[in-house]
Amino acid sequence: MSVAKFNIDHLLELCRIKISAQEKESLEKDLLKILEYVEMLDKVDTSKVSQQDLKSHKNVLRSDSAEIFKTAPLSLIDQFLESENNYLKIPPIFDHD
Amino acid sequence: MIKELQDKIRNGETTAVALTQKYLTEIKKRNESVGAYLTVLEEEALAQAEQIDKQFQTKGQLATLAGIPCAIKDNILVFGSKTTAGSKILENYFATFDATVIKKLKSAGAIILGKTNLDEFAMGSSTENSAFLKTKNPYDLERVPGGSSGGSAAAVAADLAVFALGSDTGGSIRQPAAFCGLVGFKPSYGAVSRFGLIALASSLDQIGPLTKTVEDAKIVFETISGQDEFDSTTEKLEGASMPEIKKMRIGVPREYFVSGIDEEIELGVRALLEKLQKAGADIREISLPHTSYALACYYIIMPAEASANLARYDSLRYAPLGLSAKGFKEIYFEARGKGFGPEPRRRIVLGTFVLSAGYYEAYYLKAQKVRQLIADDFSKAFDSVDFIITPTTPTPAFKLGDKLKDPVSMYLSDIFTVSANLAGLPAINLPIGFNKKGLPLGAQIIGPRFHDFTLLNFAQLVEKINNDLA
Repeated sequence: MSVAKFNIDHLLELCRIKISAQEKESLEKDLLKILEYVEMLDKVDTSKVSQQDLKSHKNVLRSDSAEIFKTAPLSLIDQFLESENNYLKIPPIFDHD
Repeated sequence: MIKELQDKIRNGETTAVALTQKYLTEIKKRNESVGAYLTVLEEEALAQAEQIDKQFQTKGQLATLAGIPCAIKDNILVFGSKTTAGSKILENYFATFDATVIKKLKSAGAIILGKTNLDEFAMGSSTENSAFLKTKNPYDLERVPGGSSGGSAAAVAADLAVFALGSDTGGSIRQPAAFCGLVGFKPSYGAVSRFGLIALASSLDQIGPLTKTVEDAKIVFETISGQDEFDSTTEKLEGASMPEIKKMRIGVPREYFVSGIDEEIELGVRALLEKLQKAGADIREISLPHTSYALACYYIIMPAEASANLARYDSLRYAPLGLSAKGFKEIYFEARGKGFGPEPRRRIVLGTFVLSAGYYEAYYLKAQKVRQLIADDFSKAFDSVDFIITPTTPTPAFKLGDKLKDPVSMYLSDIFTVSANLAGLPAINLPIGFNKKGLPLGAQIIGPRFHDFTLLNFAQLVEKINNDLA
């Protein structure tokens, strides 16, 4: 994994986070330090671990049933920024420009 | 403590209401200096207590936690109460249902006094990352209580609750328990339902109790554990008999006694091992060869899962922040920039990076493989020993502000606790005494997966031996 190259602006875009230039600078420094620390994993021989070992899980299913949540004192819908007929109302997702 | 208090209710020395009132009064007096609670549910607690007293009068019986006042970490949903996870992005969120553990506590009669402070989204080891306030260590108000369940630990240590629930992703119950002189139990992964716990890292998170005694931890664990159809990873555990100390083989991994560990902690753990040996236990040095990689492995897997879990917070559906942005994308970016503090941001960005195309194999997949090797180390060790004893933390409680500027130094406070999460094992902090400054010290006992009840029984035995031979 040695010396990770990352583009902080691209990562922040992927993460949907807007921060100031100053905050960005300190975040970048912290990330470098953490990535430097985790680089030690390079030294571990993992050649004998198979993909199969990582997939020992089983599916657990249950039947779906609708439950009416209690609404007092506040329902989830009351907490929406904006709602219409119990639907969440948000600004348009697609821009027209 | 729980049994003694219930006896007092039974023989009329006190009532659930009187007991609740007593704790609420203490909270009013001292919460400001300790900073354990974010929200106090006075009305609700008193109403709950009244109901318990009424039921006791008519039925003459108390459920297992009836009338016992407790505190809940603020990342666990309690219906109708503000649940912030210590984050601005959830500042105005009111829980719309009870977490499974809360349902179980309520039906066992526990009284919920309030919601306790934590590092934002349980990310931290000092509770200094809370967006709202800094919790102090009741043993020394200039020091941290540990974290992320620092508010829960401080509440119990300062007698502002009989017991508390915390959550532990990499040590967040055991480390604050060690810093505050408490028993703190992280159950096996799958022993306690996570339904209604605000997720940090879903393959590592577990809810567990912080208490004054192992017996109390056992009572709370018995109440909250068990299979839940809303958490498909849960399993039903069997009870266990009381182990005999003379038959116990205890492993002491040499990798946990390395340079850098506080001398008084090492001496304390060694002294405990000597007492156990005197009592007849077979103490063996063992090796867990991948120990030194556990924290690095954790700091890839945990942020990866956190980045996915925290993707849902957009400030559109609940807990709207006062934002100036108007467009969809702008709201999203502004809310997450303003709503998340520095530590969640670090982990979201780091997690996004290790999962991104081109880096996934080198980081995330590599870490998953190392995780398997760490789990294998423990499986091999448990072929020859029944339990493993280690220090819980490398140092006792540190001063507020000491590690806040350097994330990696903060992460290192979890170096002895993360392995149990990576391997899904039950692990408990047991207070073993104090250092010269009067700060609590702790030892960690780790057991095989799903042997939680046996581990608790064994811990009770160790607690007794440690006290008797003091």
